[in-house]
Amino acid sequence: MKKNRILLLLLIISMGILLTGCNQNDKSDSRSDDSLYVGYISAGFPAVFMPWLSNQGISPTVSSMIYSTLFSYDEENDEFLPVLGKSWEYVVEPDQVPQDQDYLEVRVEIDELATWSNGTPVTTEDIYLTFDLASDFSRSNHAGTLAWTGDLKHDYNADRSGELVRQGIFTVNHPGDYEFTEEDSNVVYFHVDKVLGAITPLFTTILILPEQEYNIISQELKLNTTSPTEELMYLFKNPMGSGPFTLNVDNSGPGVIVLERRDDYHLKDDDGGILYKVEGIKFINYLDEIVAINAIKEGDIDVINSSVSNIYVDNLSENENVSVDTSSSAYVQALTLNVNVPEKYSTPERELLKDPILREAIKLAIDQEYLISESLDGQGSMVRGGLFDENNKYVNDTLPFNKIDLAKANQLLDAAGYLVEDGDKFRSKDGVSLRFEITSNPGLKTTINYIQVLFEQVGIEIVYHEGGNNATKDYFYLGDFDMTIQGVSFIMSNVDMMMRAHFVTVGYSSNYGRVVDEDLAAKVNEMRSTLNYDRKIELIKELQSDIAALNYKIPLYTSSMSSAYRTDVFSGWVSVKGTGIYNDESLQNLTRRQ
Amino acid sequence: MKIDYVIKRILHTVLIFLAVITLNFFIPRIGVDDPAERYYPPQLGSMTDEEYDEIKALTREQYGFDKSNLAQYAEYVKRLFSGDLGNSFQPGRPKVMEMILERLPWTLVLSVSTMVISAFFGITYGTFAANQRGRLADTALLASSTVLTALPSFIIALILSMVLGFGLGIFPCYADSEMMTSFDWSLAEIGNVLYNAALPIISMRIGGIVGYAVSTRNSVIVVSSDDYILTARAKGLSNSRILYSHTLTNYLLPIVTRFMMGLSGLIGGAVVIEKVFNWNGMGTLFINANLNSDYPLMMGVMLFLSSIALLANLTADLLYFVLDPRVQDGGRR
Repeated sequence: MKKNRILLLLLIISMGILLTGCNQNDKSDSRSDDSLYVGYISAGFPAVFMPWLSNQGISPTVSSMIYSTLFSYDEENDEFLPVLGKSWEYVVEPDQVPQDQDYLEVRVEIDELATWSNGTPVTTEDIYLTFDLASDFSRSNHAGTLAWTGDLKHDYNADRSGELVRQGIFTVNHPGDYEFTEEDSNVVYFHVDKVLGAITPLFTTILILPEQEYNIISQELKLNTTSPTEELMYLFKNPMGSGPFTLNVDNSGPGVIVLERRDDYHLKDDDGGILYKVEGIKFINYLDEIVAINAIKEGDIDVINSSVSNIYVDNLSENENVSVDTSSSAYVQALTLNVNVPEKYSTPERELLKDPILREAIKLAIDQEYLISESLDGQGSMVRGGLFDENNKYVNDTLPFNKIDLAKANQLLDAAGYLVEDGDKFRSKDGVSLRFEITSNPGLKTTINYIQVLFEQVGIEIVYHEGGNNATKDYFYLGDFDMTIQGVSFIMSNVDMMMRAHFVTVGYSSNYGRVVDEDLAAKVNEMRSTLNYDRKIELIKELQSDIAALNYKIPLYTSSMSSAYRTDVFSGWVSVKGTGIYNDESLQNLTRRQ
Repeated sequence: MKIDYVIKRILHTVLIFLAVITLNFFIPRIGVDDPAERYYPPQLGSMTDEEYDEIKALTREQYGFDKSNLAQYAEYVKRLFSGDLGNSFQPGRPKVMEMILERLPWTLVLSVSTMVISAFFGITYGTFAANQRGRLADTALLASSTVLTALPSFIIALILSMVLGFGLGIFPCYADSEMMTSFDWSLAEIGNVLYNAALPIISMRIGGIVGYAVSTRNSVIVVSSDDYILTARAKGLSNSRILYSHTLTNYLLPIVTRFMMGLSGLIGGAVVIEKVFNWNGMGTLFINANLNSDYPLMMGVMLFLSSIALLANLTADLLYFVLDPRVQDGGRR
């Protein structure tokens, strides 16, 4: 009897410990350095950083801190901000360019104070080599990672063997038809086929490489060779950039990446002081979100560099030193229908999706407000049919929001011969049931469950189908899906590329649902090629109406991002739409609390 | 006969290894029309069809896909035998062997520790339980074995993490990532590694200890009732003499098998535990390779794990040869 009591007591104590959950042993006070600790959720960090090819996981984030672009871009004000480029101007304003000229000349002055991390100055030779390499498949074979170089007005030879007949970039050592003067030693001329805004990615996404290191690249030693030489591998493992931070190679590995601030970085704050206030950044890898959540509560990290799941938000908010910032994401989630299935993957159900009446009924069955309240716990906003998010200054706000109208949807389906046979729950036509799979990653399963509920009301059966981890490779490109949920982001600086990807290119492209609409494609191409800025904006707004009318990608919502950060170690966090609380502005503002 | 056995086992292992190499090469190629498309899927519709054809042609040439499968296989085998597992698809193309060697020590910390700990405690307790047959120590072992061997290690991991980590704060709930990059073989660092590895090791091995204990107990009981043990008792030998001179060598055989099989499984089998405790080992490397369709890395890890399994099996066979005279005599006894 006595033994039983002791056992019972032990059991109660154990249960008590379990229920108390996480012990708040705050470790933030015992930090050994002044670095910002950033939690990152992934399967592990890479060992090498080839800036152009590192386009997955944490690589772009780290590369962009070590290397620099020519400019950064303020989307809100259509304004280029200096980085390696000090200033820029059109040689001839777009509205004064001769009719027969299909490009614009842009003059960029390189900041003479900009240096590489070994102390040598950044020169126009670095810029030339970078764009020259990026444009040359035979040496870099980058497969579209740097597709933005397509904005350069290069001329290739007729047989498309890849040889450039005329470069779209000119410097004092590569003058083309230009006559450079002594003062032009820091000047680069670009010939571009886009106007301001649309040429942004050319200047804001291509990280400049040091010519002194990368001049070894040739057709024999390609940049992304399958077997890098020791010399090339050394460059990838020991990146030398012109950015505000350097990589501490010795202290970095699969679980941690250490960046140290360059105090000689050429850009300064308004008072002439160091621009980035944090002395260093330590990215700590977590294999699972829950571990990262515990780590921020424990004070092991200051911020999580990704949106945290809604289920953890309340739990995090209970900690007095942890805050959760909610900001709008840059992505519109759209239900994408496979409207032009390759023969290999064709099914009778998929063929039905070519019918515009069925697509319109599907649109009318979607209730954005319901999806936002039920599947996102209210953390999202509605979207118009044109797929531009509501905060975008180029959104066509004359377009109405998609509204649910089940009666009209049922009426349309009845009239088009999609009928519910006796004893059936769902509609069919000519013996083919309206039964579709939504292929997606498990993260969107909740949303799909609610779409199932909505579609049942119009007699359409929806089944969740788990797609691979890499949607583009696993099913988008192949065209092997009925429907999927796709994040779409259109902004001025990517609209040339992304509208082409979504609505023009078929065949090998990853335009996902492969819509073929000649009028839409022609208008997208006109928008891409016009050198008149006002006309471009006008076309972007018109295109939104055309996109909405196709019902090919039907907007569901824009979800909010929840960023978790600690407030007891650093102050000065800045929330930026689309990126959350960990961003460049925060890094420039954060100061260590005493 | 003795040499025949050894040569036969080694040849057997080599043949299986060649089969593994062959499967490892051909399986990822099944159902792939054009490997260049796996290496370079079109990105965001940024290219025209002509541009994509051009880049695929370059990719085929670069990776040797323009050669026949047999020619590629010959090249693959040639590279393998020079110790080259190829280059990962990751940007910058790091060497697969370097990536594996970077993670391997951290996996070995868990796997070797857990093997040794579970073998030591399991065998000790199992022997004790066999001698206490029918008493509390034995009954407790049998009763707990059903639950503990059936309970998945990740459940044990979560409970331990909650109680010993978050609740009592005795051990860290997740590994210190900086520890793994700045390790310097000092006593303090070794202590820190063991401290961080405590919960993963305990989680992985609670079931293992019980498994070893039950297996040892059963072996001891079976061996103890053999005629030669009864004869030894009749001769008046002490219990400890009987245990160490007669019983031990015989019940070691199934234990050796268990140990070696466990070793091959543990290296790649700690994926969930690695995730729960944020331990960057081989398991997560393999998962990462899978998620990113990094075929050279997947092939490299698979080959590495298969090789360890084969080596473990060969070692077990050779240990049998040493420990069991019946094997030495070709089963004629």
